[in-house]
Amino acid sequence: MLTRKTILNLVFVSMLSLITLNIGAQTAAEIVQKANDKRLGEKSSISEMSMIIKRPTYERSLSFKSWTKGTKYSITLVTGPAREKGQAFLKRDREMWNWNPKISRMIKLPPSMMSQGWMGSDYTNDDAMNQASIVKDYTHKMLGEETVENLECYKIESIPFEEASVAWGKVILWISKEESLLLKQEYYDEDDFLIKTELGHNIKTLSGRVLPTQFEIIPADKPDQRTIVNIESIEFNPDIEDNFFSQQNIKKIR
Amino acid sequence: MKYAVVLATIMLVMPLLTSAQSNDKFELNGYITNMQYVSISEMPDIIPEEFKDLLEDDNNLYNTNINFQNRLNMYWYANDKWTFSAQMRNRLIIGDQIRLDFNQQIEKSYENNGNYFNPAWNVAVGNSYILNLAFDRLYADYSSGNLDVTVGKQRINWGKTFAFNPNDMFNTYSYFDFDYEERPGTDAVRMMYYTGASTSVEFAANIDSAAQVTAALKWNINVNNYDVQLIGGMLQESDLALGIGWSGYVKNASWRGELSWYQPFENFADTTGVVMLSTGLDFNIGSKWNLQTEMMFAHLSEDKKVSMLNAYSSPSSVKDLAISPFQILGSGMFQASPLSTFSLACIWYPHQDIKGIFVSPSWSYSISDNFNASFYWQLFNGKFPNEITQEVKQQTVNSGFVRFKYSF
Repeated sequence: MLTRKTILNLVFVSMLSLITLNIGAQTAAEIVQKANDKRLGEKSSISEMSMIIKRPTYERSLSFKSWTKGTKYSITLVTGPAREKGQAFLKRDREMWNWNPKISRMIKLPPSMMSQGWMGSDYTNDDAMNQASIVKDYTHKMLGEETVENLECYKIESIPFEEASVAWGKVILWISKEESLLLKQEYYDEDDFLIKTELGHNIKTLSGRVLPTQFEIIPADKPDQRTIVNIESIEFNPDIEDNFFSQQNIKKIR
Repeated sequence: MKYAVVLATIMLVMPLLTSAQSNDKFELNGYITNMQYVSISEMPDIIPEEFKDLLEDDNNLYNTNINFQNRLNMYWYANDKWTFSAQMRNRLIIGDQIRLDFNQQIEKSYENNGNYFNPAWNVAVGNSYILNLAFDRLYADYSSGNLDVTVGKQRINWGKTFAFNPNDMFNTYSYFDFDYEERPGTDAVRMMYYTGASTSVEFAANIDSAAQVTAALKWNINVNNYDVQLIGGMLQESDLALGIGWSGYVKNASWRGELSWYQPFENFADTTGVVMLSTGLDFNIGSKWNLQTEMMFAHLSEDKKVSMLNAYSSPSSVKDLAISPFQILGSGMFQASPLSTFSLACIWYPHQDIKGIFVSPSWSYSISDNFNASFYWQLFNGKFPNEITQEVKQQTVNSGFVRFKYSF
């Protein structure tokens, strides 16, 4: 039999836990926002990256340049190898286009394109064009604390909104407490199977910010395969107009 | 001949030496390919004497060729407003195809491919080879604010779908010619005024080898996340051209389509016009599969002769794009690894005068970052005239291609 006091106590405890959970949720979202801002700039960024696809018997490489503004806009331009050079991708909100200079055509891309790997790599269109998606398309929950690369990290679970067009069912993030560095991400599909793990390495100061400058992507079912993305250079918060992210511009951007 | 060999050597070796020279003002890129191919057709009932040595013991005809191709794309970014480009497609073709070109049809087509200006030269012609140098792009581009103007030999690609493009008035090509993805250029003026990030108004006009002008306006708008284009103009000074094209998505798949109507100004009320609708879906499954389907319905002019042979050759006008009232394509691509991609494309022409199918598997393999090998097979089965005797019957032609490509 429950006494009045126990009931009150229960109500109080559950209210308290609700409040704490709520604070936890806010904090988790803030932590994710902070790590994302640190990596992509609070307003905008321009970066040059190289990618190496590593397999037990061979390697292939690709390089690209990327412009982002907030969570809405991005342009990615392939700068190498010669075979792929000049391909450009534009993202505005939920719409995406690919400019293919070889055939002089602007191709509208379907949402299912987002899960496609770049040139057969483990780096997807979603990774390349939708980097800020983690902030706007997910709800975040604090799971606890763990150490990654000898740094104390928050462990956060991120679940996409129903209507968000993202390729994942769940993402677990490890973000360092001190510098807000995104050091580890685990991507799960809708059936809760681990698909890939992304690790942040080579923590360095780049354009005045401490950042992991290398990302290693390991597919869960093929642990001997790697895709490594290096940030070669990055500029934070340059002034870029919204109309920079246009079909006109991806035809001539260099 | 000596001159040609020297020129060919320079042409093939120069890009290797310069290895894609680029700086802020100039850019040079392109590729070199070597392709070997054989086309196998059934033996006709009667064989002219000159074809006897193509015949093998299995009663098939083997048409064997080697093709070297070099593409050079040169750009000069003069300032932030002006860009100039010259692009060459240079080919050396050796084999039975040339040897059997008794009426010099191929030879002539290399120097005159339906354009008003033909900066293309057969610099060396022999019994079984042709060395051809050609500029297929030669233009100046002026860009200021929201305006882009391009004058010269250029490609104007108005397609929205992937295989059959009835909206594509300035850019007719053969779907089956996979070895020329850039496609020919056309002598044209093109003006684009961008009204937004994904909207614009476009005017284009070109002139063909018969000095006929094609001109059209195109509005590119964006409605509910659909890119929509509305086209109105005139085709080869003789037809009214109206069209609508779209690309958007249904759930996770792309839905694209093009509808066009070409009607002669003379006899405006009669049935000599052509209406074509092509539409298809394409989507990705997981990270490795890409599937595509496309079909085209056409109302053909009454005097149109339905023949499968018309499918293979590049149509002389967009009006000849549909060879029968209905055709359907299905294709799939599978990225087996970062090095290896398989694909399969099939087209079915159910019309009773064709009863045709086209099946083409291919495999592409990356040997290194810029060096690629690929293998293509093309099977045509249908009612069409034998290439030698012109006798129309149900027959099969198989072609196999092995290609090496170095990009720089």
